[in-house]
Amino acid sequence: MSVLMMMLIVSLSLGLAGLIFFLWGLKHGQFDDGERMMNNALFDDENDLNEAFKREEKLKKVLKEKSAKKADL
Amino acid sequence: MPNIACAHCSLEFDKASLIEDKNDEQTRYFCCSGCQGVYNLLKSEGLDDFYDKTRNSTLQPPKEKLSDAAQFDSKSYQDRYVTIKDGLHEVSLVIEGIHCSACVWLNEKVLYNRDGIVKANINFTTHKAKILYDPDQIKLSEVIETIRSIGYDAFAYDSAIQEKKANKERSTYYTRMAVAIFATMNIMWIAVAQYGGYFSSMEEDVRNMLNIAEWILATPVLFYSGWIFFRGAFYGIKNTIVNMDVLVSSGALLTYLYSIYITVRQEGEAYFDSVAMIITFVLIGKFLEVLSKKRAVDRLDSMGSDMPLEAQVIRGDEVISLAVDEIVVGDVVELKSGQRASVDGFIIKGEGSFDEATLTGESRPIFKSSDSIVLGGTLLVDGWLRYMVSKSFSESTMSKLLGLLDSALEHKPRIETLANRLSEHFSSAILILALLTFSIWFMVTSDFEDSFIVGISVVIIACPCALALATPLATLVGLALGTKKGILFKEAMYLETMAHIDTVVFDKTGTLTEGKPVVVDVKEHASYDKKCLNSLLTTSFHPVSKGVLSFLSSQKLTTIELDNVKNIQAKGIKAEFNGHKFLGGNEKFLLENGIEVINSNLQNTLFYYAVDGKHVVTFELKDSLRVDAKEAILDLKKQGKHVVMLSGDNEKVCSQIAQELEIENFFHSLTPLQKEKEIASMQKSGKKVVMAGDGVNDILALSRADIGIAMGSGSDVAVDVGDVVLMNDRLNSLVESLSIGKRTYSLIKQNLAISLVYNAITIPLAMAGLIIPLIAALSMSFSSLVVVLNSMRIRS
Repeated sequence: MSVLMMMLIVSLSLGLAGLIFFLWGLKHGQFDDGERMMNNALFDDENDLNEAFKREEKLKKVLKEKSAKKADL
Repeated sequence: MPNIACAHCSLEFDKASLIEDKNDEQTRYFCCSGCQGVYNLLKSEGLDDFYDKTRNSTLQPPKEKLSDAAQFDSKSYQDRYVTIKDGLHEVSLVIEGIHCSACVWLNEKVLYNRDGIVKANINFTTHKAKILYDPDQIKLSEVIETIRSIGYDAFAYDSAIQEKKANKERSTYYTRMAVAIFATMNIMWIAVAQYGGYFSSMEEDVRNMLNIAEWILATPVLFYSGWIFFRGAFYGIKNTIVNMDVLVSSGALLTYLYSIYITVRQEGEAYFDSVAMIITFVLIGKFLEVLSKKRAVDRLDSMGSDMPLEAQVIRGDEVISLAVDEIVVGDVVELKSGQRASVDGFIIKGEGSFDEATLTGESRPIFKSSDSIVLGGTLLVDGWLRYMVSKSFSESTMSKLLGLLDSALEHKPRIETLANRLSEHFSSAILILALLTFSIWFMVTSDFEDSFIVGISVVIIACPCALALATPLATLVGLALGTKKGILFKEAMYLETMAHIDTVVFDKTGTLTEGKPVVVDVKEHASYDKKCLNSLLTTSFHPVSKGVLSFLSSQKLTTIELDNVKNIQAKGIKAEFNGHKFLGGNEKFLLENGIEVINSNLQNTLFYYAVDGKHVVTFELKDSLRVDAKEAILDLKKQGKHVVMLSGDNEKVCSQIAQELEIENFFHSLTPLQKEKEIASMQKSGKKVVMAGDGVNDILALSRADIGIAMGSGSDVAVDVGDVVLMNDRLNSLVESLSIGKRTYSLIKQNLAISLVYNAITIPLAMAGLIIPLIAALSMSFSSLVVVLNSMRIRS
């Protein structure tokens, strides 16, 4: 009985975690472009990963500058 | 001489005509300076692994530079297309020229390399890009120039109306489905244990625990995923319609409440698995429908790239840019070669030839001088003029056309789908039967609980899974089949409508014919240098010149820079080179220049070419029929369809084509509005009409018809307005689309019949109280399975 209960809780929460990650990806547009999803596999060498990181940094930097400017005003 | 591929676009050319580039150790060949420029740019930016990624595909050589960049920074352009997000600007662009994933890679890379662009996301399928940039660091015109510098073209479009809405609906469906499928799959394995326990006895507390687990899992399915059905049922009841949603939601809710009662009482069988299954299956069916729903046409969007937002208005001594809606009657507008008129008016100074294809479908430019009327939306091909505005922007021809388009779409007949008609009766019948069953059982046995269970079992067993899946599954298979054959149905519903069609209406130019003059005969009177003729023709945009040019293009000729090039409207072109004089145009043009014309007894459109005052060659051009036009018309007639041709052309041309194609009914010299009226009158006499067209002048008719079929190569607006698009431009596909529609419809009928037969067998059993949970669950899955399998048959 208690074993069964534990199994239920463990497996359901594992599944739930998967569901939450999937929904998170969905919300952040990871599945918006089906073809991109397939093609991304082709563009995943080190350069591409570095590039992706740099792009995120760039966005952060610009946003920071913007908010700093706003604060100045 | 061997053909060599251009290092950028990979198109093959004769070696002698290529540009040699000895920049570094290696020698490369380019077909044009555009390709060379792009190659060197990519090389210097370190992006030349682009060429490894394109592998063997060929690219389009870049277009010549356009100088319209300034308009992108104008206020009216910004107001319309740019949205502001935390101080950053976001713009949606359509990028032209993308044809593979490497192109997307390159565009994104180049855009990200620019300072100020922080996000550039290009959709692989639609080639639309969303770009986020810092307006302090980069201007929109610079963004677009960046894309142009590597050989692609881009223009902004307004994404707000179209996409956001469609995407939002789709994404909430995804979330709801993910939750439903997750919970249902988990409920199913719990249910397996319970069904097992049903036969082999199970401890009471274990069963209760499983029931509670199911209860927890079923709750989000019913109330979150199934919310759509409650909402649908609410609106249905409000309008006194008992729709499918009423049956689904009431059945699921009753079962859910009953199962809670069982769980709490710890006695009997709970049906949480049925609740989850009904909702999930019907949701999938509904999702399939949403997936294939046509996006609302944002008409201004599709016209957007065509319509100018500003005009050059003369105020006093200076020329100023004014937004189109600020122009008032009486203003004088200046129009230069290549510009589009935004408002109606009449010419007061200058002259030029207009391309009015947008409004009339007539491909030949029309020459206009003083006092002639200029229509909004028409393009000044060459010339320069000033005209007095006679109507404001909202009153002008183009704006009016848009208004008419709205009303045409509003009047489009919508044939209600078979499943919808059926489900209304079905739903109310089931609810009445359930109620009857309950009251009879209660009267006979006077056991409330038992009678209630039997009553509910009727609702559960009439599980509309199969019914709800019948149409979406069949249409999905039909849609896939169409896509495979190059037929794009924008909405699943049109497949069903297609099956009812009895009249097929064709537009002539561009649909039955190719729409561009093609050289059919050449008469050479003396030898001449083709290179010079080729160069002369490239200076003109006239369709006849283009026709001859494309005829010569198979010989891969190079162009030379000619001197003193003169384009004389509606007559011909004149140029000089190394002391030789070249002249090309119509007969009158040659005679005017004192050249003797050699009569060659040819008909149709003729293009004469003379060198140094001597007539050397004549080309005969004709707007040829599409290769499969005749066959397609014959097929349609064999199927008993009524075939009609509508055209803006004159009677002579129309009757000739009609005769050739054996079309008895044709109407000529029609304006776009008359075309629509013609279709409306056919519909009034009870006909179900398909209209096939390709031009802007057809859009009213296309949107009015029961189904508008657009040619994939037609104007963007026509493709947008059309309900079905023939991607391969073949008329055979049109015939094919009719047969796909027919087959899908018969499949829908079969599927519905299967689910009705299933119900006819199981409902009486349920009413008699003979259904045990196991059988109920099995038979429900079985009926859905049969429908799925049956739908797969259409492929063969």
